[in-house]
Amino acid sequence: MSDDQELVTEVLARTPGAFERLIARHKALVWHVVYRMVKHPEDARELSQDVFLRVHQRLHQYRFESSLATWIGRVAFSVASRHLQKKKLPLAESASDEEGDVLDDVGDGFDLEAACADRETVDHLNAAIEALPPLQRTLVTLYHLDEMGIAEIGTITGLPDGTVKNYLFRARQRLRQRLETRLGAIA
Amino acid sequence: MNTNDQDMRLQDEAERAEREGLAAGRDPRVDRYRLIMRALRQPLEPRLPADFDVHVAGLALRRDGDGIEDLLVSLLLLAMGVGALLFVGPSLAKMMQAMVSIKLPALPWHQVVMAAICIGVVWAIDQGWMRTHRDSRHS
Repeated sequence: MSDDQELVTEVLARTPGAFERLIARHKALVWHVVYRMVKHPEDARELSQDVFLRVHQRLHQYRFESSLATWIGRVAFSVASRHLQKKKLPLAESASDEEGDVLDDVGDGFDLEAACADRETVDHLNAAIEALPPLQRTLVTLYHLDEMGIAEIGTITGLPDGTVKNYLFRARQRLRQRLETRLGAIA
Repeated sequence: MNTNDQDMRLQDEAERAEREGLAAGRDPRVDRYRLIMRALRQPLEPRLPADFDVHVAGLALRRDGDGIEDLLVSLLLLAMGVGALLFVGPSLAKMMQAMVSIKLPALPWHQVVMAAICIGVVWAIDQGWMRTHRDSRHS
């Protein structure tokens, strides 16, 4: 029996401490999805709680067709999307809103390790990540921080693989543009 | 090669370089993407509170308890209803017979029915509005 199956069986059998272990195992993923989508810490905390209560209520419907993490991630994405819809906030932006090509040449002098250690550059990049549209923010986090594959991310968000790849590409391209704007400014 | 194809290649190279821990400094454009990928791997701030697991697991258990409580209350109400029906059944039957024998006044019944439907519709709309209003306040 896999870890997921064992844990789900224990939760459904109301084994003491089992649901707490499930939360501990998946809370980072839920937080990443919800916080990246809604950005507001208090709303994100409440919604994360709702996600787990919903998981608890519907766990008997989980059919082991995907990993438990993917299934829970899907619940989190759906709760967060509904919240954005209620607030009439856009999930993604239209292609016409995307910025044009990036500055191609900001000079060759770039020291990766020095840039990593430079607090201001890192803060600038974090602000640029925060400024991405909710869907792109979530996708880059699932891919880079949670190290999920394109197919898993597609299952969570309900997007085709090609669309996920395209969003990831555009998000990183936009971040490079923001970075180069800063590097251009301090050069 | 257009800008997007070139960027795609740079991103792929940056990802591979990060995964394999290659030395930086060969291509500044790849290194910029490597910096972005490192920033994206940083843990999120703020985080969930430390007692989140315990708190939410407790809430879920209490909800389970509420479910059983609701079921017991429903069963009790049902038993009370059946008991009351058995107790007042005979007298209720007599009362019904008496009511049937009463001649109803000649009211415009179709208008009464229409008025009842209108009241029902207005009440339903009002309930729906209140629920929407309450949800939007909570969200």
